Amino acid sequence: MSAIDWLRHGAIVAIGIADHVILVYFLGLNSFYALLLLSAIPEAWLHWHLANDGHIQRLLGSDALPPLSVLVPAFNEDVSIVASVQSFLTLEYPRHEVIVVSDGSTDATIRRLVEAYDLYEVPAAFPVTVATRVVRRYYRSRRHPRLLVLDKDHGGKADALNAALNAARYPYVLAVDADTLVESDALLRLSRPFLMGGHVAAVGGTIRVANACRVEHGRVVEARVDRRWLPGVQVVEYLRAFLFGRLGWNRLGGNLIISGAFGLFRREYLLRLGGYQTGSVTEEMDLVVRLHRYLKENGLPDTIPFVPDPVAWTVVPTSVRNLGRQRERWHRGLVATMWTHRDMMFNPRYGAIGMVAMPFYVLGELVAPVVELLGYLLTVLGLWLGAINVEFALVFLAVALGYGLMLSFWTLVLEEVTYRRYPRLADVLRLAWYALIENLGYRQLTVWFRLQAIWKYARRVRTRGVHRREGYVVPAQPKGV
Amino acid sequence: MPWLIGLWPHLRGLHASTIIALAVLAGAQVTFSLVLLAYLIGHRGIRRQQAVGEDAAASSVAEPLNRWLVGQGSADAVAAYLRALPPDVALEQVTRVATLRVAPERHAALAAAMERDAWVVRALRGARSRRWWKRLAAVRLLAVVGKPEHRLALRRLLLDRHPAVQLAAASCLARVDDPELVSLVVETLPRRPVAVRHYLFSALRQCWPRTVPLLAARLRGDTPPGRLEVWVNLAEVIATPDILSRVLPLHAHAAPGVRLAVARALKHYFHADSVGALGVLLADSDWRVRAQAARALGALHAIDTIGALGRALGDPAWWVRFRAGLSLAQLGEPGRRVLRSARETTGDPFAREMAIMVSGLPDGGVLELADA
Repeated sequence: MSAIDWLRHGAIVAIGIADHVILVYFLGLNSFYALLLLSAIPEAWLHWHLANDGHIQRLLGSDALPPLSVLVPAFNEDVSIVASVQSFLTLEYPRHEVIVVSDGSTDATIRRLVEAYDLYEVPAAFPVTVATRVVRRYYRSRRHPRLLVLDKDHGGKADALNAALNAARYPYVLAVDADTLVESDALLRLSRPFLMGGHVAAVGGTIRVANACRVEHGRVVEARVDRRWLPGVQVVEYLRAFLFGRLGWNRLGGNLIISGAFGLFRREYLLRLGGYQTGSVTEEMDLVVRLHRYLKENGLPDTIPFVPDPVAWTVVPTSVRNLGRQRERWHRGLVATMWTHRDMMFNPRYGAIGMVAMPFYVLGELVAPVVELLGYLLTVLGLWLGAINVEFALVFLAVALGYGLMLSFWTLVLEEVTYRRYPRLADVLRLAWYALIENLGYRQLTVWFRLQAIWKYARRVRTRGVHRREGYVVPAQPKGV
Repeated sequence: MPWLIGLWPHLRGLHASTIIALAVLAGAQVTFSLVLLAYLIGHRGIRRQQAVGEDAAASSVAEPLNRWLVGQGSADAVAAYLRALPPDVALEQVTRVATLRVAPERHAALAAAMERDAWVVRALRGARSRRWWKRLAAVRLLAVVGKPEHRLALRRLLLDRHPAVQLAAASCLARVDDPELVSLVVETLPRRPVAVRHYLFSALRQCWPRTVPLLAARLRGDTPPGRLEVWVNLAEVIATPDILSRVLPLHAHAAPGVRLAVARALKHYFHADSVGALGVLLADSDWRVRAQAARALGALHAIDTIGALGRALGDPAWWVRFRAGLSLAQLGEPGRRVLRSARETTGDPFAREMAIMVSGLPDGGVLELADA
């Protein structure tokens, strides 16, 4: 046998072995997803019961709920800031204040707020617990005593949130993006874990896609699914992430992510952690992992649950370029967080977070794009060398696509039997169509963005990158403001 | 290398069996996905029909129920309509009754008309279910049809492990009017979670004639501070003069938590002695107590304490300054005068900053912040 034959045979065997390793990885990962899905069912059932119980809803309206501060970092949001603030001020909740932080805006954000809410300057009469960039001015409103506006030097979202955290008066804080459309009863629903008597360190709610929805006065009044494939596919993706991913994690040991656009935290804990980390690529995951660490290390019984029915709507990227920036940043944040907290991995001291959640995020999320790329390359090489037969490749592909499709359809069924936010059947069918085509192109795109993230992290790129937000509809100026 | 090449036939064998296994899996996935898709489409139609049916059923009972509520229809007619509804819809309608003020004898007539209905018996049996939502349904029904013989069941549900059931059971207290059950709730208050406790306060306020004597017996200086604090909080919610008069002597309690609760409760007690006690608490060593005392003095419009509130504007704790500033603004022109003076002439930067902040607020804003 010639040396080339030896090499060829060696490569064929190596590909065969790698194929089977990838197959085992694939089956293992998808079995875990199935476990998540099964865990999500009783959780969805439980929350659906609580969300629909009129008695509990009535109780939620009373003043027994803890007061909370809504923190709104804003950077150059002059077009929508007045309507956004109005929508935050009119959220249904017994006691809440709204703290807007203009993070060095260079547009008319502050001027618009001063005019609309009759702001007047007040002294910096708050204890500064977390160090931030210089806060130039504090404003209170003559029209809404529950509104506080901070004008500070630009320091990024985390720095703006820290400034708001210093000024917050209430024991719980809700961090929202200025362009997030929070449903009017979302705060009440989000605070349901308090009513249920649990020790709660933070609560996460659901983020849904606002593109193509009808928006009036900073609220989504009719949920629609975008006809364009890119935002449309993301609707399915968000539903899957929230309706079964995070719900499932409620049962399997706790969530590692609370969306930065809509998350409720106990202020005291955030202050003890030193607030949001300003150098972080994605502040939300890093914060939640640090919070888990803090709770475990101090033997605190508090949990970080996810509640599916409080909803905030956000705009998702409609261009591949913007999507790429966003996903690359998210994945780089995941890599950074996992690397920073690597000592928690497989560490029984951190319970299910260390033993289940973090290993899953590393093996199932962080490494997944590398394995997927390897799978594509090996398949092509294997087919060329004859190491893989065509039937195997096709059947494997069918299983991979079928599995993704099944999970997506299952999520749509969960949505349909529980919350039914999309009133039109056409939208539901459109979602089913996007679930079908998601695996053909979109998935591969996100793999590419995530690979870029790993590459950039390896090259020590630590900047957040520029993510251009896209507007939904310019909201109408509310009457009387 | 030869050992590696020797693996090849095994791998090929694996391939064949793997292909079969994967093909079966793919087939199962496709079938399941199609079933889910069919369900997705079908469920929409079925749900719509169900909703139409439920709406029609609910509106069919609305007319007899409304007639009964205004004293014109009979309880038997309402019970007959409820009998014809799906149990969930019937329960929703019955819950409506529980939230309304209906004369006890009419309530009793409806309960008597319903008590033997199969759906009621079945739902009440849920009080022993392992599923919390069945226990919740049972307790909601008990709020309407509950009778003395249900006392034991209600007792169990008041101590249920699910907070939603505890809360619903507490809302039956006023109707059942049983001193033993009220005593049970009062006694177990300190160990309930904070939010649950607040709801129980409201339930206990509704049956205050039963609650007040039980509470008065517990408002003693020798009660453990943790428990005493909770009961003072309950006294604040009930806020009858006789119970607040029991709270007043506790202002000198050694535990700061109790003094804090007392300062908070006294804002409802319009009595010269309470102003005196709050004046003492305004000089407390604990800043939380001082802040609450300042707040209470504003709520009581204690104009005589204007000097003490003015001094509290310069307190080291921000919250005390804030509460003192708001209270001064609540005291009308004399209080505003102190704020102006603090803003313009005082050498104390703390007092000046707070005075500037509070002075900018309109009266509505002051009230809103003072209340929060």
